[in-house]
Amino acid sequence: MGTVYALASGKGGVGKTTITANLGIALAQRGKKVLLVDADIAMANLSLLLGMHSSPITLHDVLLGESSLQDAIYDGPGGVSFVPSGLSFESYRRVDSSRLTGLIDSVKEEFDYILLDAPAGIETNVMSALSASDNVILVTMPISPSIADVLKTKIVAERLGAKPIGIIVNFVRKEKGEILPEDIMKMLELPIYGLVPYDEEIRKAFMREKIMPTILFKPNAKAIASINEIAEKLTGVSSAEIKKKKKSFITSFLNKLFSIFKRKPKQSSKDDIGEETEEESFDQNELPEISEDSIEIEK
Amino acid sequence: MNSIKSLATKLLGLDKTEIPKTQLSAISEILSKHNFNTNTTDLKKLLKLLKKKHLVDQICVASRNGSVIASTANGNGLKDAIIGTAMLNYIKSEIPKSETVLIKSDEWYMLMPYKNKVFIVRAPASLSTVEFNALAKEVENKILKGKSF
Repeated sequence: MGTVYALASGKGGVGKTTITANLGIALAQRGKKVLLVDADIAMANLSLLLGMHSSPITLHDVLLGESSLQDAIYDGPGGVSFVPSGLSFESYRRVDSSRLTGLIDSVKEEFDYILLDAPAGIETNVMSALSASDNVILVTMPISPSIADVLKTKIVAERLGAKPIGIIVNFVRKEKGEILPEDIMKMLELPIYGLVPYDEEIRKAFMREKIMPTILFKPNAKAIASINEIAEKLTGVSSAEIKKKKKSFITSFLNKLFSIFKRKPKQSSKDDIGEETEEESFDQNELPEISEDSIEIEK
Repeated sequence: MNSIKSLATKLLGLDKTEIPKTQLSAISEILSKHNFNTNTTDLKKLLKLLKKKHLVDQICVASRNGSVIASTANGNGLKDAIIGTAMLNYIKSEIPKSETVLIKSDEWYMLMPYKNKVFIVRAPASLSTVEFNALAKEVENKILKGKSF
């Protein structure tokens, strides 16, 4: 049985969709079966980021009872499965988002992780996404309006019986006036799952002829390193292990190839598997521990 | 270029931003007002807590035949239970697939059948069906869990 995570924020523009897409692919790269759901039925941005906005059957059709959810699951980029939301304003006005919980429950068996990209705000559509999830990951920026909004989202999630489990702080620039991770943890009474630095490469993902998540065209970007760390925390599979697997796959392939010619294989070089460069790695040692035990909450 | 600029800003102390501490303490206060521990074995107490949690005026849980299981109303909400279930039964007979009934009066009067019970809620603003469902689910789970009810 898979676990359903809703990525929610309250405030718009904090990077929920970008994090959902990249985190989903990072989980899939760890050998997990991942379903991404564009639960933002009004503003289908995840569908745009994954380049699947013109899919014939969408979540709108499913919520309207005109198609089954199975028909709306597509193979997305990077090994994820994906349920797009529709762009049509007419169908959006007719859909009943409260049906989402039952629909998600019906496919839980087929996936290890189901990530719901929740809309901004705390209105009905957000409640539907929160209610359909087992766990809620709150995404915020290190500034007070974003934290105030995410706090309200946390309260709403708890009212609905959903379980907020952690925070992702996005657009971290390490400026003096930014709210510190320790303060965010104290205020929200939740552990921090990751600090994602501000990264121009993320913005550039939308400035391409073929829009795609940054993890696919710039896997060594600073923000992607942080997202990989979050995926590692969720799955227990590190980026190093993925590289090792890739390496052993290449070695075994070369072994097979060379055994045909009875020649000794050459070791695969680092360049073959896209080793990270030191210059692009983000110092994750500065992140606070995510374990719930490690937080001292002032009651 | 950006990293050089950011380093220079830090070294020269040009970053004039600061953490808005007064705002942060105001934000912290919001959460302290919304911490609800609904871990109680007393059904009436639970309904009172849920009243605060969901910001509603009154909650009445009735059986399908109109008898009161629990209520936050003074006088145990017998009137609410009888009228609520009768109204719901009538609407169900006319619109069999109806799941929730919302009536706008001076306040909102909301009815929802859940499992073998009827939930009757009065509130200044309407609850979404998702939230109403969460409220009913929480009560039902407590009833199933605690045999002392």
